Amino acid sequence: MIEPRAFLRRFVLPLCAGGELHVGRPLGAAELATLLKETELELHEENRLLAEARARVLSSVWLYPLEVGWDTPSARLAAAIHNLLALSHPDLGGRRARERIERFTAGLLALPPPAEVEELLRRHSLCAGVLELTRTDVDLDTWAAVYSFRGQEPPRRLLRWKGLRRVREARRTLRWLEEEAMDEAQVGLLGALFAASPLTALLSPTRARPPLELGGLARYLRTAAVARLCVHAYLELGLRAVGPSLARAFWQLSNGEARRRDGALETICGLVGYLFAARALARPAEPLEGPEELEADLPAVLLALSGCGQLPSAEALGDAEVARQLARQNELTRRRLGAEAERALTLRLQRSLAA
Amino acid sequence: MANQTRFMAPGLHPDSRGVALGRLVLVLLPSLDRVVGLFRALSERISLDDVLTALKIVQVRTPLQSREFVVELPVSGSHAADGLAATAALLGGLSFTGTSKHFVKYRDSRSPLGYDVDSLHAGQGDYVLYDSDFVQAYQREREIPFAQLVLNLAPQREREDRLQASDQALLRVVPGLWRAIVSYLHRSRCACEVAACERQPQGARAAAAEQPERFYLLRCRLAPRMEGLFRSTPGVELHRLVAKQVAVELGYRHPLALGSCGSIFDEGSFYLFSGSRGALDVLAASPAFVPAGSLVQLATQALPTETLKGSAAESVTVPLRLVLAGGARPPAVAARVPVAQAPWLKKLIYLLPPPAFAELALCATEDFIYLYSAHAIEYIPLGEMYHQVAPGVLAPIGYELLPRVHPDVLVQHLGSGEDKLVFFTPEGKAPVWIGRERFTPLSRRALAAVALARPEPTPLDAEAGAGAGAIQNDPLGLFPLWGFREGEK
Repeated sequence: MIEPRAFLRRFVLPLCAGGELHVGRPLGAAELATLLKETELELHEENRLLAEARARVLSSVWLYPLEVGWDTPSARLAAAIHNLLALSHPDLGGRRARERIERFTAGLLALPPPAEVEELLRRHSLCAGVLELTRTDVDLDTWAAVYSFRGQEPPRRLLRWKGLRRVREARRTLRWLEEEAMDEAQVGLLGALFAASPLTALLSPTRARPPLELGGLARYLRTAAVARLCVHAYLELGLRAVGPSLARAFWQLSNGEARRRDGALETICGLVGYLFAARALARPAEPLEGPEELEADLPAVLLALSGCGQLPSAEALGDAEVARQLARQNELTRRRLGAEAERALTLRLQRSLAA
Repeated sequence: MANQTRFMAPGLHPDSRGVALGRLVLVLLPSLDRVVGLFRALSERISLDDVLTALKIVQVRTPLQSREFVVELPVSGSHAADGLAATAALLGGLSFTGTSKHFVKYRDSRSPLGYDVDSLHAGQGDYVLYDSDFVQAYQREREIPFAQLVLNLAPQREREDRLQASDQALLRVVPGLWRAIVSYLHRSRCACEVAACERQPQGARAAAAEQPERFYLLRCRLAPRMEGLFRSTPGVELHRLVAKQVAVELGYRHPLALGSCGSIFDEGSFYLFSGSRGALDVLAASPAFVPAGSLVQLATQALPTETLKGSAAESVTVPLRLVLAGGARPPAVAARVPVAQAPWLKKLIYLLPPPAFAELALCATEDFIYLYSAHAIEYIPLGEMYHQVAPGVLAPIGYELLPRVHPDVLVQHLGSGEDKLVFFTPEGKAPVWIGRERFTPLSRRALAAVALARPEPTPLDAEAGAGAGAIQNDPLGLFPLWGFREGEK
C-alpha cells in the first residue's frame, strides 16, 4: 500500500521542484483513495513544501498570489502522471497489465475542464514538470553480453573487474516527452493529460507530441490575462520557434468542426493579431520571415487575417507605430508569397469564418 | 648608467630614484585590440582623466610598410612608469621613454636605472625607438582619438551583474509602454523621473531621411524584485548610471572603466550603451527629466506634517486638541494593538468568525498593529479602540477633538478621507497617518508579515534539487500489479 507522504516527497515534490522522482508500482483505486485522504492533512510538512514548489512554478507565469493546495484534481493528476511514467518502466509486466493501467489512468484523466482561471493555473503548476522530465539510461557492454538500464543504475556486480571483463559504460540523458519511445496508448494518455491541464498545453506549443490543438483551448484564451500570459510566453520562446506549430494548429482549427465551438476561430485570430502587435511593440523594425511550408507560415496567417478584416485598426491598436509595423510585416509576406497565394489564403479563411 | 646625470638621448633626465626617464612613456603595440587591452587594464588602476590631455594613440608605419600602434602617455615619475611598463609587457608591448621623437627602452631587470644611446639615429621618421636589440624609425600614419576608441567599443556580457542598493537605474522604454511603467512605479512608491528622448538615425538610415526614433528614459531607484521584471520585459532596457551623463545596460559592462575617463563625455550630451542591441545612443542634449508624480493621477500623495504645524497660520488658528469626553460611547472602527500583544492577536485570529476576515484590515508598523473596519470593530478586545470623528479621522474612545469643527472641515484640513486614515493618539504626540492601501485584509495573511515567531522546518532533500525532474525507476518486484485494482470492490 502506498504511503502518501512518501509519494509526495519522492514523486510529486521533485516533479514540481526538480530532482530525482521515483517511479514505482502503478497506482490503483486503493492508492488513489489513500492519496485523496491526504487532502484532510493539510498541516503535513510535505504539503507545505509542495504548495511552495507549485507556487514557484506559477510565479514564473502568473503575477498574482494564488493558493495552491492538495485537492482531488491534484491527486488524480499526480497519480495519472505517475502511471504514465510507470508505463515506460522496464520491469512492468506484459500487454494485459499495461492495458489495465492504461484503462485506469484514462479514467483518472477524465477530469471536467477547469471552470476558472485559478483551477487552470493549479493544474498547470502540477503538470508543467512533465515538459522538462529527463531520464538517464545506461548501456553496459561487457565481454559476454550487453545490458541496458532505463532510468536505473546498473547493479554493482556488473561493474566489477572492469578491465578484465572489458566493461564499457555509456550513459545517455534523454528528454522523456520528446525522445522516449511510446506506444499509441501512451501518446493517447499524454493527450488526455494535456487536455486535463489546458494551460500546460498552451504554454508548450513546440512540443513534439501530442501536437498543439487549439480547438479545445480557445475558450481559455478569451480570458485576457491568460491570452496575455501565452503571448508573452510565445514571444519569449521566439516566433521563429513557435510560429510553425501555431500556424499548423490555426489551419487545422480552421478546417475542423471545432472552429464553431464558442467562436474558437475568431478567438485564435485575435490571439495571432495580438501576438504580432506585441512583437512589434517589443522589437520594432524586424519583420518575420516564414518557413517554406505554407501551412507552417505564421506571417501568412497574419496576411490572411488582414485580408479578412480580422486585424484591429490603428486606433484600436492604440499605437500608430505598431500598426505601421504590422502593415510592413504583411507587405514583406505579400512580396514573398505573391498575390495569388494571398488571395487563396484569404479566401480559405473567409470560408472558415463564414461557415 | 649608474650615477649618470647627462644622457645622449634628448629629453632624458634622472628622476628622484636615478632612473632615466623622459616626459612620456611610449608603448609600442602590434594591433588595436592590444591597445584596447592596455586601456582596459589601465582604466581599472589609474584615472585616465589625468593623462587624457597628453595621451595619444597613433598608428605608425615602419619603412617596410608594416603597421603598428604607439600609445603616448605622460608620466610624472618612475613609479607610474613602472606600472605602465608592467601592464604593457603583459599585453606583449614594448615600453620606451623620452620626450619627443627619440625614445629609448625603459628600464628592465637587466638595467634597473634605464638605458641611453651611444649615438642618435640619423634616419627619417616621426618616432625613433631604441631597443637593446634594434633601432627602428616609424612614420606617423594617423591618430586615433581616445574618445572615438571608447565610444566604438561594444559592451560585453556580464551574467552575474545585479543592481546594488546604491545604484541609480535608468529604464529605456519604447513609446507604447512608458505610461504603464510610470504608473506601475508610482503605485509601487518608487520615486522616478521621466524624459522623452529622440535618437537621430545614423549612417544609411540617416541618408534615407528616416524619422528620429523616439523613446523614454525613466530614472529611479528600483526595488530588487523589479530588476528581474524589467530585465525580462520586452521593450524595456534596464541601464545603470555609471556617470552623470553615461549609462550602461545592466548585464553588460563596457570594456573600459568609464568612471576613470569621464572627461571624454560631452557635458551637454547623454550616452546610453546598450549591450542587447549592440548600439550606443548619443543624445545631443541632456534629457529633461520630469517627476513622474506630475504625470500620473495622484491618489495617495503623502500628507505633509507641516500642514498641521504651519507656523504662518499659527497666529490666527488654534491647534487641534485631543481631550477627554463624556457621553454616549460611539462605535469603535479601529484598534491600535502594541506589537508586544501580537501573539495574543495571533491566537485571537483563529477564533474570528468569517465576516471578521472580510471586514478587518490590518497594517503593522514598528510599534503598533493598526486594525480597521469600515463598519465596526467588535471582535478584537485588544489595544486601544478608536472611533471615527470624521471620515478618515480617528480618535481614541473616550476622547474627542477640539475645537468641534464640522467633519468636512476636519477632513479638508487634514487631507484624510478616501486615501488615508489619521489617528490621534492620547500620548500627546503628533497624529499618525497611514495610507489606506497599506491596510491588508486579514484573509490575505497580513499578520504573517509582522515578524511573528515561527520555527522554520528543516528543508527536505528533494527541495534542494531545483530544475527539471529526473526519472528514477525503482524496482517493481516480481508482481508489479499485486493489489492493483481499477475500481472499488
